[in-house]
Amino acid sequence: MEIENPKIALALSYSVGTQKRPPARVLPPQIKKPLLPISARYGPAPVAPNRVMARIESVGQFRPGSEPLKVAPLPPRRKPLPPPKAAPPPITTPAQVAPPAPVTTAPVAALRPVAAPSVATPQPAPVDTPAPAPPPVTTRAVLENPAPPAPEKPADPPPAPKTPPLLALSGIGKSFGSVRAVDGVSLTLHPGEKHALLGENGAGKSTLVKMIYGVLQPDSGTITLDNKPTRIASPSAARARGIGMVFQHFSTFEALSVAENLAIVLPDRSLRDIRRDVRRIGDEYGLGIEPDRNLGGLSAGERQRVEIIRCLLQNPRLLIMDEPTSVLTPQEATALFGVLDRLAAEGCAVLYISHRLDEVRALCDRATVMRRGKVVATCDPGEQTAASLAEMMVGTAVERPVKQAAYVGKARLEVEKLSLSPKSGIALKDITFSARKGEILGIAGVAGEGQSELFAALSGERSLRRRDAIRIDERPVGHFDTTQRRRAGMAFAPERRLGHAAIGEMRLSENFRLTHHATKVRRNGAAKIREEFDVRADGRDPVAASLSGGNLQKFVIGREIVRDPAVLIVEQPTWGVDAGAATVIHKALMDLAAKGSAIVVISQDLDEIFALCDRIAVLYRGTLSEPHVTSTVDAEKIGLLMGGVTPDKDDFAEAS
Amino acid sequence: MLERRVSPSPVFAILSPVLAVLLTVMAGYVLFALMGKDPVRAMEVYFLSPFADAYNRSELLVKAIPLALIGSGLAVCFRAGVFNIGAPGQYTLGAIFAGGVALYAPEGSPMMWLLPLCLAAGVLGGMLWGWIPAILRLWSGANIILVSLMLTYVAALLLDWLVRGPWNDPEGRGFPKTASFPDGAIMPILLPGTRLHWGLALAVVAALALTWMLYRSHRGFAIRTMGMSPKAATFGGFSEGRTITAVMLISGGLAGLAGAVEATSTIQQLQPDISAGYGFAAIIVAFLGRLNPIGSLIAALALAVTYIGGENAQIMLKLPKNAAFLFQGMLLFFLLACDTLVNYRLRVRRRAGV
Repeated sequence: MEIENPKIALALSYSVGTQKRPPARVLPPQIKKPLLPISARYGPAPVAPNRVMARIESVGQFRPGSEPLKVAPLPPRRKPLPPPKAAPPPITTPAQVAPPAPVTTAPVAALRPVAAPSVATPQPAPVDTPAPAPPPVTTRAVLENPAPPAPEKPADPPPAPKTPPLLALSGIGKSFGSVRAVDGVSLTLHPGEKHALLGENGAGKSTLVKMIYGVLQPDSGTITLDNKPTRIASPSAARARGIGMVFQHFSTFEALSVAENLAIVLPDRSLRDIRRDVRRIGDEYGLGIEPDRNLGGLSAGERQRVEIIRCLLQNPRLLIMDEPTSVLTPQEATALFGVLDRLAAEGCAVLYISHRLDEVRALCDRATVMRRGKVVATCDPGEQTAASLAEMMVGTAVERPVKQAAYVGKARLEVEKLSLSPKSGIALKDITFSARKGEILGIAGVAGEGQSELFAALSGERSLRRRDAIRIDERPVGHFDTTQRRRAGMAFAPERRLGHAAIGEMRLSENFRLTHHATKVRRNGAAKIREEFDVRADGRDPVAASLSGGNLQKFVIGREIVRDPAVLIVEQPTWGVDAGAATVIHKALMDLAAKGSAIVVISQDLDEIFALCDRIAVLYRGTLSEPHVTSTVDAEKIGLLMGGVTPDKDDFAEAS
Repeated sequence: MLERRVSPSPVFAILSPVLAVLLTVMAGYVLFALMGKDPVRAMEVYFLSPFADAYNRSELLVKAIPLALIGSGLAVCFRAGVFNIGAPGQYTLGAIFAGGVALYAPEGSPMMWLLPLCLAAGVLGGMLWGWIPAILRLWSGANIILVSLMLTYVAALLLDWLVRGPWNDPEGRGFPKTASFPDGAIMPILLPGTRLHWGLALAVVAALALTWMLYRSHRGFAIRTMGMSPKAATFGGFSEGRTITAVMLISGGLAGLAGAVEATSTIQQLQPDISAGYGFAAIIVAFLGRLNPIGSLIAALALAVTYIGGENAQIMLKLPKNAAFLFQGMLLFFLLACDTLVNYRLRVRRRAGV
């Protein structure tokens, strides 16, 4: 099968398994990585899929899919604890107290030969220090193991005798104005460690890594690199010391080739060397990218590979990844994890920032959880559930809304052969779908496949000529502008909060007026939304920019929900939003659907799509696939569609 | 070093113009010292003499009237993020239209209506000149800044041709000017014994009306929204084209009114040079007045000081008249620099040692 489109080829190769992996790729052993269970974020999924399945597969009989495993609390692997000099982690976790079960440690150790050696003596449990809301884990851990409360500190064995920490932060602080963004954070990173940095939006994760990467300077505290206190003055200084970072948004030049883009950041190397090295690294790590291709033609996943190659060209000892999977299909993400595993096995430390708890649980050895600029817990994410991790991040128990089976009525929104010419973007081609009363329709797809164009066409920001392209309750509205569509019962919430959904400089009441001026404006509408959707902000009527991302998003969604729309179109409703706000938003959307509205959720977050939607369609290069009933498809099928592969009819028959 | 503020500082939004004026005065002091003039005396002539007596004070207001009219219109326009640089052209067209009505009104028509008719024609002329860049922008995406600026020269040449050609005063012995306007087309004097005329009332009313429009009306909301975020404005359902057209008509119309007011009050005829650079100075007025129509009233006074002070300095100190423009330029320069402090704070850089 010859496929020219690299994206399709990639998606195919991973799913079908024909990827010619470079022979050099020995570690980790050829484990068929199962996809992450979609329910991990919302349903009960007490499994660290990666490891559990690896372990089970070695026994020889497990197929991922159907049912979440009921696995007894995982036998913990021992991890090096943060050195005693660091601030004591306020929350005790099972990792620190439960003794390891020898049987299961072996395969794990085999998987990760470079993982820090086990600590022989059981670690003393730091006595429960006051934490704002200790997760239930704590109590259980303490119950299970009434550890001696006062161990003699000097008797402590050094946490990681063979591998001294590569990087140690102690008491790092940073303020912006009166906001204490990072407050006394201590963290250690050992070579070969895959360390997750978890936290809600605004918890200070980005600020912290920017200080490690030299973009910002800490106000207080010390950064110790190789046991020497260090000042990292700039990103180039950081790179010179072996710290590489892959940003969430790539700063690259679309008109230049891969090699040329890399040459810009590596001025001391010739283009020829770079070309050669790109091929070499590509072979070595399975990051195959042709160095002479233009960057403009690469998918987001491929661009990320370029960024990773950029870091690898500088022989990093520490690789920082900021939300790397937000632009990837599940298959691409799985491939990325393979690369990271491999890097860690070679002794490179990975600092991994993500909101996606299931990923962190699958990938990382250790997790540092931040809340409001402080470290609130350090734990082994593999031993936590998504729920307990979310709880640590938010500080309170996170209630997960569960989508009720939809009462499916008549179609309220019908889109028929909607096309849009490419005005500096993706052209939309003959998009046809309908959303019925009580239904949430998901439109999946990786970034940049026409989502914003579809949103603009549905909202009327880009005008359409054909009346019948869009119908609301059988009334053609295709020729209406945004205001007329709102009057006809539509409501919209775009992806970008500031500068599209809302205006940062304007007060909430004015931002309320922004989408309500054409219909009857309620008095105190903004205040009511704040109350109803738990929008937390200072002052009576603050400007939108002063709200945190999650609170502003609750406002933006709430603003549209209170108009009781016939049809609601939302794009990325919980993008970059903390777990608490995401829960509020998801619940609000489900409640709205239950009241009889039709909702269209355009999202790149598959977890979200699967958790919310009754049917799922996939947007790929401006065309929309057939919608599939959620219960009949899995992430793998949707992932294939996201990569542009239309699976055979048989596959779906099999799935359903 | 500069550090971004968490939110824009309201204190510095007000303080910045004051700071800019102070810096301009200081820079002027140094400048005059370098030129070998007595800086104290020069400062006195420049900044105090305009307030010295009733005559100077009334002249100050006379200069401030066109500046305030144009500036408040531009404030609204800039608020929408539409940069109309063509106010001089719109001003000129206003004067031409008003002059045409004044000169060619049929004999015996009721004098009472002549002046209002002149002013209305001026507004219409300015609107026409403001509408051209807007419509070109909507049809073909032409740049408003460039089109409006270039139309300025078209307007100036049109006026030049008219006063030398078809509209030339037959009894003017070939001087490039039109006949004087009839009495009915002359703006009445507000304060006897001075040149201060009723245009002042127009300027104040216009500023108040625009302020109300900007902050209380639906259209004003659309204008402010578009200035802050065009994408959000479109999302809110405000048509970009309609907003652009509206603000170009508003600012063009006010510039045209200013031209008509000047032509019917201080000049009372048409001649090649009718503006003394009001159109461009009004850009400074708009920014100095914080893009607020009422703020423009106050800022117009500040700019008028540089005009009157400049004239006085020319007479008393033999300084070139262009020194006034120098002060205007410095004022805008310092103002833009000081505006950085609205969004950023100064912070003394410490060595971040280990």
